[in-house]
Amino acid sequence: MNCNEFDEKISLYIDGKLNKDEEKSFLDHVNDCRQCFRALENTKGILGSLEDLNNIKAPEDLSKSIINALEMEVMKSKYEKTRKGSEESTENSIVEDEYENVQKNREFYGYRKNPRQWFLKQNPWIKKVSLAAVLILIVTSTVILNTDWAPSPIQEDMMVMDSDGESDPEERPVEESEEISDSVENEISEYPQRQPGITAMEDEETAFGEDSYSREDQVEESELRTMETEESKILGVKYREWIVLLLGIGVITVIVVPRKNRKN
Amino acid sequence: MNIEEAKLIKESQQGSIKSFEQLILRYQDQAYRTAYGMLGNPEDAKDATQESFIKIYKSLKNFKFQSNFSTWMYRIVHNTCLDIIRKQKRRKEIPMETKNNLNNNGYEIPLKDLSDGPEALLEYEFVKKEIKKCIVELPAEYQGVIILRDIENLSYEEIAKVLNISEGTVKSRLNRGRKQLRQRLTDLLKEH
Repeated sequence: MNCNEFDEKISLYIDGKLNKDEEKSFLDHVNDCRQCFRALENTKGILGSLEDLNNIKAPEDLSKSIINALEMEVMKSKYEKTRKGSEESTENSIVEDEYENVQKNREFYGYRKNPRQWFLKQNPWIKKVSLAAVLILIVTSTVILNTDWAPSPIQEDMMVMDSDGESDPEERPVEESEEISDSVENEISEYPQRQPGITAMEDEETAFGEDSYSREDQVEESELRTMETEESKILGVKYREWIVLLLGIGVITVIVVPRKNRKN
Repeated sequence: MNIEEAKLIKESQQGSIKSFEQLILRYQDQAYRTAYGMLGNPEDAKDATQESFIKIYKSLKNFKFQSNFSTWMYRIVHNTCLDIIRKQKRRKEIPMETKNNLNNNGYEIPLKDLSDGPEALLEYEFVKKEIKKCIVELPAEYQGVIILRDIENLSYEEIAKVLNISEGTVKSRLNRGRKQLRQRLTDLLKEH
């Protein structure tokens, strides 16, 4: 055997695949050739080190992460199949619970396309609660929309005063502000806080002052109300409409969100 | 293949993830080692093992019990690792023909002998680390046979089945792969 033959046979020798004659010839050459002897020893050293790699263990969490990934994969494929309406998914059901989840998800996400069908499939209690919620919503919104939330006369006057106070006094005529304060005093005098000892003449003056207020300030009052109404709008919608809208969203959330959580 | 393993495979084929988990626990070390040998780092090896087992589960219906489950598993792990290597394109292959003469090197690779003291052990550990690097850098065709034979201790016949090649090809690839590994390692140690 020469060095080239040694080179071809070394692997078979290490794995014990040479017959007796070949092995004898191989070993004779190794004993005679120092370089081949060293090559054999080095190869044995490397393979010994590789055997040590056999002790490497998989990380402890590997099996769990594989199972988690697998479950996600199964869920994903099942969900895609059910969304496509494939009947294969029922035949090839892998885990019944998972399939039920997929079906529930399908119902949950499918109701947007056909809400009536979804509603009819629901539990009777859910139907009752949903109907009750809708009725409450209608009644509440009707009451809110029909309620006249106009401020009382005193509040109106206070608002007038406030608005006057906010405006620049230099721009307002002095007489006008005096008239308003007179009229306010007259208005207040109509209420039980009226001070005792007011004469009939004073009453007449008060009545005259009230008439004067009604005529002159009606325009201003209507303007103020218009301003107030405009101020109470957000994005062109009145406060009360916003309240109804938010109430509606709240009711729908109460109905839908618990179902979603339960299914997840 | 024993009866218990066949039962687990059949149950897994019918969709039992619990049974498949048992199969994972049996074979995850082998799969991880193979992936680790081919990819060279624990993170990639973990990902490759996970991907391989998902592939195994998905294609378990096609397993006809005509070979060992382990052979089939090794094949899928090996192919998955090859795909990852191709994607990463980070392989730095050693030229197929080695320029240096194998027998001209003067370096002796230390054998594992704890009686030689801590220095020898440290050197041995260093060599082991370098060997891992060298395996990762080997051409894929040699890498597979070396890992399956010298780490996983599979027979030539099993390797041939895993890689779908003849036993003769296994022998020749193994011989050339070991030679390249030895050459590469001695070069590295000389530089060191």
